[in-house]
Amino acid sequence: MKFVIIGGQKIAYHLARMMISKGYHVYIVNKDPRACENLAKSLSAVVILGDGSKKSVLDQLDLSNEDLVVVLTNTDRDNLIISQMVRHYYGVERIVTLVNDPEDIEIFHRLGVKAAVSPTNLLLQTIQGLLLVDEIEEFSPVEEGRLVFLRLEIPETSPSAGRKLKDIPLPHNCVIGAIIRNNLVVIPRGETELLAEDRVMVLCEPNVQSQVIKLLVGE
Amino acid sequence: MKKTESLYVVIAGCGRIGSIVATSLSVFGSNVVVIDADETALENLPEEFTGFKINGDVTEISILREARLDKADVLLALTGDDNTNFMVSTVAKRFFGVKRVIARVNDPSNESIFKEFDIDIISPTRLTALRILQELGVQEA
Repeated sequence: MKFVIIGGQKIAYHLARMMISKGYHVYIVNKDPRACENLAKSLSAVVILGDGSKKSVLDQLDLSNEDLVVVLTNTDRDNLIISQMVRHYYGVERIVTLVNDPEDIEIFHRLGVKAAVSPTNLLLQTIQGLLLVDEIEEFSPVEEGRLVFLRLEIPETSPSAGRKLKDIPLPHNCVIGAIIRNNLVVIPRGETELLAEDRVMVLCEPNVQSQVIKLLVGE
Repeated sequence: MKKTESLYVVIAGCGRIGSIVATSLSVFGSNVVVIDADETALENLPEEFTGFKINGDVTEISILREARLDKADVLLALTGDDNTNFMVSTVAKRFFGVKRVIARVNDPSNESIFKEFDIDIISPTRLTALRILQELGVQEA
C-alpha cells in the first residue's frame, strides 16, 4: 500500500513524517521544485516533481485501489480534478481532500469526494466553542466536523440541574453519552437526574451545539 | 443560422474564445452572462454585446449563484485552464442541474475525465491540428 500526498507545504511535510514513522511507503507529488528539494532532503520518501493534476504525472505513481491519497493543494479546482482523476483512472477509493473554501465542502461531497476536510471550518468550530462559556471543558469536532464532542460541567445555575434527562428539551440530534459524578461513571437513562457539578459527555451535530450548551449550562 | 432566442447562457471565461462566443450569442438573441476574474477582459467586450458581465472567480459558488446558474439552459466553460473548466462544468452539472454543459479542454490528456462526468468537450488543440491536416489533405492518425 502506498501513501500518496499531492501538493501542500508544511502539512505535507508533517503528515509525511508521521506516516513514515508509522512504517508507510510515502510518495509525495509537488510542482514546486524548491519544496520538492527540501522534502527529498529531509524525508525518506519518494518525491516526484510535477503537476499532480496531469495524468502523465499521476501515471508515475502506479496507483491501485489499495493505496491512500491525500490531496492538499491550495486551490479547490486543482483538488477537485486531482481527486476525480485518482478515483476514475486508478480506482483509488481512499481519498482525503483538503477544501480551501468551506462553501465547497458540499460540492465535493456531491461529486463523490466523501472525505473533504476544511481547516477553516474546523478552526471556526473550535473558536465558537471557546467563545461560549467557561463550563466547557472540552470541545472537539469529529468526523470532519460533522459531529461535535462536548464535555461540560453543570453549574448550580443551570436551567437543567435537578431535572430528569427525559424532561430536558434537548434537540433530537444530540445525545448525552455519560455523566461523571464524584469520579464515578454514570450511563444515563431518561430517568437519570442531572445534578450540579456533574460533568457530562455530549455528542451532537454542530448546528445545535449552542442550543445544547444553553440548555445544560445556561446563558 | 439556428435561432437561439430563448436560451439563457452562462459563460465562464472571457478570453479570446469566450468573448467571441458571448458576443455572437448575445447578437443572435440569447440572454448571456459572462464571468471573468479579469475586469479588463470584460471591458474589452464589443458594444454589440448586450448581456451581463460579472467580475469574479468562476470557481466560487457565490459567483455562480449570482449568475443564476440554476436557471441556465447552457453553461460554457471557456477559460484557458482545464482544472477551472472541470470544476465549473461538474458543479454546473451536478450541483446546479444545468442540462447542457460544454467545456473547452486544452490538454487532450484531460478529455477522458471530462467525459466521465458527461460533459461535452471542445478541444482547441485537436481542432487546430485537424484543420491543419485537412488543409494538407491528410487524415488524423
